[in-house]
Amino acid sequence: MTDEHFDDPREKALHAVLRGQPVLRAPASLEQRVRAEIARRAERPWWQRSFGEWPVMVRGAFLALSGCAACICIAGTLAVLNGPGAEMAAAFLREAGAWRLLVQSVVESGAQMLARVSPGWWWLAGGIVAASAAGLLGIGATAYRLLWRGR
Amino acid sequence: MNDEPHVHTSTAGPLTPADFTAFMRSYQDMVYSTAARLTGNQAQAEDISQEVFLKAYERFDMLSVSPTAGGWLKTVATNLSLNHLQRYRNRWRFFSEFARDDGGEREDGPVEFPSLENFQDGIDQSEKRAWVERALAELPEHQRVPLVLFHFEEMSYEEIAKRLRISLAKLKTDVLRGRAALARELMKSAAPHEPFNA
Repeated sequence: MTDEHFDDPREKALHAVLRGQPVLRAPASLEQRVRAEIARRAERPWWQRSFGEWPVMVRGAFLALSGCAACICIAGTLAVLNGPGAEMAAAFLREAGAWRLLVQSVVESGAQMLARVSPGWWWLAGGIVAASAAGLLGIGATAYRLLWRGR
Repeated sequence: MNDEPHVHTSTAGPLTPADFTAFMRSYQDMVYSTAARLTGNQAQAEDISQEVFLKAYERFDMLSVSPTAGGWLKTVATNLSLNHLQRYRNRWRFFSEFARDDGGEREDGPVEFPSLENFQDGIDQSEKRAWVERALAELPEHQRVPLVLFHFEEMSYEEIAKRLRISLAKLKTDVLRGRAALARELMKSAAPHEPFNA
């Protein structure tokens, strides 16, 4: 940065004041805190650490097991859909279709019930929701001003 | 400011905890200063400094022999501080904007920028430095952060605007008003007053 950034001598003077500031002294507790946290992390068992810190053998075993599990899932799905389980899958899909019809009828019934509610009740419900939201907003703003901004 | 102090590490054998302690002692003031000036909060600065050194510990094999370790630490401290402020700002943006504190100055009003010619006179050096730090910490965040990045971290306006995701025009306005507010605060200290205890 050069002086050409400052056309105004007042800005240049302020820059000189700021650049003349020495570094702030870190609190004495910082070193202790860092050492304590390093010690705490070092004492954690391997399964509580990140994957990169797991023992090599364990990482290898985990990857192998994950691969096996993925293969079993894919092979099982294919077997169910194409093999002797195809009939079972078809029955399951029919069952799912019945459930879909049930859900559809429940939704339609609910919609008919709601259609019978008079508009006045809707306005009242909307008002209650709006008042609740405004109340929560007020509580949040008050809590922010009292508890957070003063810190 | 000397960002690249010499770190005494054991020259032979693996790195020891004592090496990391020496490393930390060499850089902790610089890291803490960066975080404290950006956040304007000592407790948050200490938390951020701790996080910086924990990251450094994970890469200590590389950092202990790197001539740019100081720069790496400063970059991490700056990024963590800005991320912290960004998180905080997103969380409280709505409420904060109910009463935005601009140091008592309207955003669209004229900028009163007093001269600092009397600031140097008649004040103890350590007291002057304490006043500057305090005045800086009391600036609203949207003025303090660009000022710190520009004057202390030596970033350009373009870099700062990009990093803070604001327009260049808004950044320049914030910097101008921040400088003016800071100058006003400092000139208060130049007036006869009781000694300030940091």
